[in-house]
This record gives sequence, structure tokens and C-alpha cells, in this order.
Amino acid sequence: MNLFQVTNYTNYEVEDFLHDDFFIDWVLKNQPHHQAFWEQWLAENPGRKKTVDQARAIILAIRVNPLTEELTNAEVNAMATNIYQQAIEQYEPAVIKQRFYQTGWFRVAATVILVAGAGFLFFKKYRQPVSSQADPFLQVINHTPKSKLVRMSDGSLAVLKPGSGLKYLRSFHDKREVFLDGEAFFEIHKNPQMPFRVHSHDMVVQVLGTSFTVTSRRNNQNFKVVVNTGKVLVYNQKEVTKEGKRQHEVILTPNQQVTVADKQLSFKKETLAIPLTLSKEMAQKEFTFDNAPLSAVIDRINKDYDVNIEYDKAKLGSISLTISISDRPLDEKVKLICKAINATCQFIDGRIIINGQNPNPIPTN
Amino acid sequence: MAPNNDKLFTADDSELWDLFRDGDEVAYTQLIQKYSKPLFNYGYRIYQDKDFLKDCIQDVFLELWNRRLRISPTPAVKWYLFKAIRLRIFREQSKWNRSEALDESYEFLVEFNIESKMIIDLETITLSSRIQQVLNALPPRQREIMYLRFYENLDFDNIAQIMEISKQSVHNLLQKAYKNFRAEWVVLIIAFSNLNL
Repeated sequence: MNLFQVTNYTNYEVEDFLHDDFFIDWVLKNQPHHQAFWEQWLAENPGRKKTVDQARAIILAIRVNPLTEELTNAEVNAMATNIYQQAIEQYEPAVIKQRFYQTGWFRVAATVILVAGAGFLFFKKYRQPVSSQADPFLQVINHTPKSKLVRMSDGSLAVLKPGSGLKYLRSFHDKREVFLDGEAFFEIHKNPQMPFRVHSHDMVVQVLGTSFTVTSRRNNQNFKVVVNTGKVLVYNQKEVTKEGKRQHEVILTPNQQVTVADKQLSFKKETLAIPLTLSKEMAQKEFTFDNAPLSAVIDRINKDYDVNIEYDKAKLGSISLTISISDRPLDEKVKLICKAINATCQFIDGRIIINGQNPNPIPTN
Repeated sequence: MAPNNDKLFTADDSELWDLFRDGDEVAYTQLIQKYSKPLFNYGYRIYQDKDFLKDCIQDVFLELWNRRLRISPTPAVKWYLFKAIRLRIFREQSKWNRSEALDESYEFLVEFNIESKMIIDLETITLSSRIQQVLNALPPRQREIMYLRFYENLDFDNIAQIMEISKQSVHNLLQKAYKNFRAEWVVLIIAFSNLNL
């Protein structure tokens, strides 16, 4: 930066100034040492003033047109939250690394409605003796009046509605298949090598490269899937031919739903008039909070996920926080909120519990 | 010159950088907040895929965190990050997308514009549009240098490091660019002279 001392500028023309670092720095940064030098130089070379002014004018007039794509503030906030979370927690094995591009989290909501009775048969058929730890399947049946959170081994989540049941492998080693009776909202961790399938009686909902949510209602005549984010494939496994060809398969993208009336296996695909709150475009707005009280943040999550986060509202409810969590799955959302308010959380028996604030700040690193 | 969103190498930056190297999480988050947009803005000109770039930016910052103890107390945070994002875009692209790997024939998406507010008479406006055409007709690497120098306000040393070429190469590329310009500049200069009289 001090090279100017040996540069002889007296013969410089405009184009020479235009590729002189020190000159450009003066025009663009105008720090005191630039200013001092050029003031003195101009005093000594009054005849060059016009050339200098011209070069300055040109440099100052160069603009770059904005790109069509830009990061919004909300996106930057979401990225910052995400990066921070990963950087700080990356050595904790339980945390699944989130990537936007290769293995992003995507959400899809689906509703599956089954013929009465089918669900009972299904669960009887698959029910295992309670005894063995060796049972590769875990089963959750929600007898409570509130939704239960189910966290699976790959980090995928299901919000299981009252009266619904979900059966899934203790660990997803070579396949990710779950069986649903009733209704559930899913947030699935993306893994292109291992598609995630939700079986609901004969219907199969498969996450295509992203993730999905499935719900099934036992006593209804209809099967229904609604997608919030990501992309899913829906088909009837009875209709899969020996060659693996599927009839009537339907691909759903966000804010689309498919209904299948029993017996007539025709699919009816529709696009929702109003985007779902957990769809990407809505979630970004819904889950970015600027100085919001904790109670508002919790209410938002409770409402959109249909869950019931347990916390001491009187004590913690008015803590204000600024946070952007739209890109995170439900449990990560809760963890981030806890981190922000220096509290801890637990996921026990399908309940989500936020404990009081830690009186001693957690040491960093 | 288009006002950039920050002043370079300010006390703020080196302060942030030092705090960050000490493991200060707030400083780290501030660096992310401050540089994500400029990095995206630069990266998108090389490769136009928003999600891919978000991933690259995320990786750059994660790596930065992991290496913080070994990173020198450079005040030049900006060129360090620009170099990292450029490297990553080229590397990740060839890894994930062999069929259309980026090579030296990449495009650099930028549209220069001479601010006509500063120019009053009709003749000069005509001239400025010609200058603009020359700027926009430059080959990609020269456009990239122009972008980094005049828009991102990085000096030629930094640009050479970011683009992984010698400083001499930067100057050679610039010479070529200015040769194209010279005729146009001269005419423009005359117009400016009239204006400034």
C-alpha cells in the first residue's frame, strides 16, 4: 500500500490512474493517508487536476446492476442460525448436519384416511411381544388427547395425532419404512440413498429426495395426503406390478393434496387455494421473530405443528427473543429457542418440555 | 462508485476477526451476517444456483470456525472469505456436477452501468453508453477483476489471491481491458473536460 511513494504520477493519463490501486483507493476509500498524499500531489502538479478529476469522475460513475437473485435478510438470518448451530454443535453426534442443497430438511404434511377396521388389523398383525429388546420395531400409540412427538433414529420426526399409531424401525440401517394408522405430520431428514416410505394400509407415501408428512384417519372412508414442503410420491402398493410399475402414482409438490376414495382407486389431486403455514414461503415469515415474547414463539409452534410445548409461561413467557427458525425441524426449533434463552429442553414420551433458565451461563466451547 | 455495504478493513472488521479467533460466538455470527450477502452476490455471478451457493457459504463459514485457531490475525477478512467461496464453488461444482464442471471458460455474470445522473449533456450520455458497452463486452476474467476492484473495492493484491493468479497476470489482464477502453476513454475524457470547465 505504500508503493505510491516510488510511483511517479506526473505523466499519468486517465486510463493509467484507472488501474492504479492507490489512486482507486483514494477515490473509493478516501482514508486520511490517501487524502494527504493526493492533496499535496495536486498542489505540486496543478496542471494535472483536470486529468485527476476526470479519472475520479469515471471511477465514481461505474455501477453494477443488481442481480435478479439476492439473499433476503430472512435468509441471511436463517443461514446464520443454521451455521452457528452446526459450528457449535457439530461434535455432538446426535445433531444431524443440515445442508440446504444436498441433504436439506424439507417438510410435507400428509393426511391419510383409511377404511374403518383396517387400522386395527394392521396393528394386530404387526404387534410384537412386549418382551424383547431385540424387537427391531418401535411402536407408539397415542392414547392421549394431545399430539405426541416421535423422533426417529435418523433425526426424522412425526407429530402423531390423538388416537393414531406409528410403527417404525428402531434404527434405519438399510431402509426407512414406517407404518401409520391415523394421522401424523412428518418432517423427514433427506437421504437420497434411502428413501423414506410411510405405509398406510395399501397406500404408500414416499419421499422423493426430500421428505414428507403422512396422516391417516382410521374411521374415514378416504385417504388423504397434503404436502407442505418437499416432494412426495403416492401410490397403492396393491397396484404395483411384478415389473415394479405403478399404476396411479401421483407426485405431490407443496400445497397440493391428493384424496383417494375407498374402492375406487382413482386419485384426485388438487392445489390448495391458501398456502399451508408450514410451506416454505409461509414458514419463513411465520418463524422469523424480531423481539417477540417467548410465549408468542411457542404459541406459533404449538398452532402450526399442533403440539403442546410444556413450559413455565409465567416465568419465561415474557422473555423476548429475535430468532429465525423456519428452516429447522420441530425439535431443532425448540433446541434453538432454548439455546437463545439459555434454557434446556427434554423430549420425553412424546412430550416437549422446556425447563427453566440455567442460572449459570453455559461456557462456550 | 456504487456504495458497497461496508467499508473495508475497518477497525470493526479486524476487531470482529480477533474476537472470532478467540472463539467469540457473537463475533462469528456477526461475520456471517455481514458477509453472506456479498459472498452470495459474488458467487452467483460465477454459478447461478441459489441453494448451491447457500451451501457453499455455509461450508465456508463452518470451515472458518474449525480453523479459527490456525487463522492469522489478518485484517483482510473480506478477501479471505472471497477466496474461500470462489475456491469452494469451483471445487464443489466439479464434485457434484461432473457433466458441467466449471472451468476457466466460466461466465462471470455482471452488468456494468455508468451512472448517468453524474453526466448532464446528451453527448456525454451517448458516450457513457459506449463505455458501458465496452465494459460489458470484456471477457469474463477481466469482468471479474473489474467487479472486484470497482464494486467490491478489493485491491489488486487481493484480487490476485482470490482468483489464484499472479499480480502480474492481473495487471496483464487489466492492460488488455484498458487497451479496449483507451479510445473510448479519451472521447469521454474530452466530454468530462467540457463538463468540468
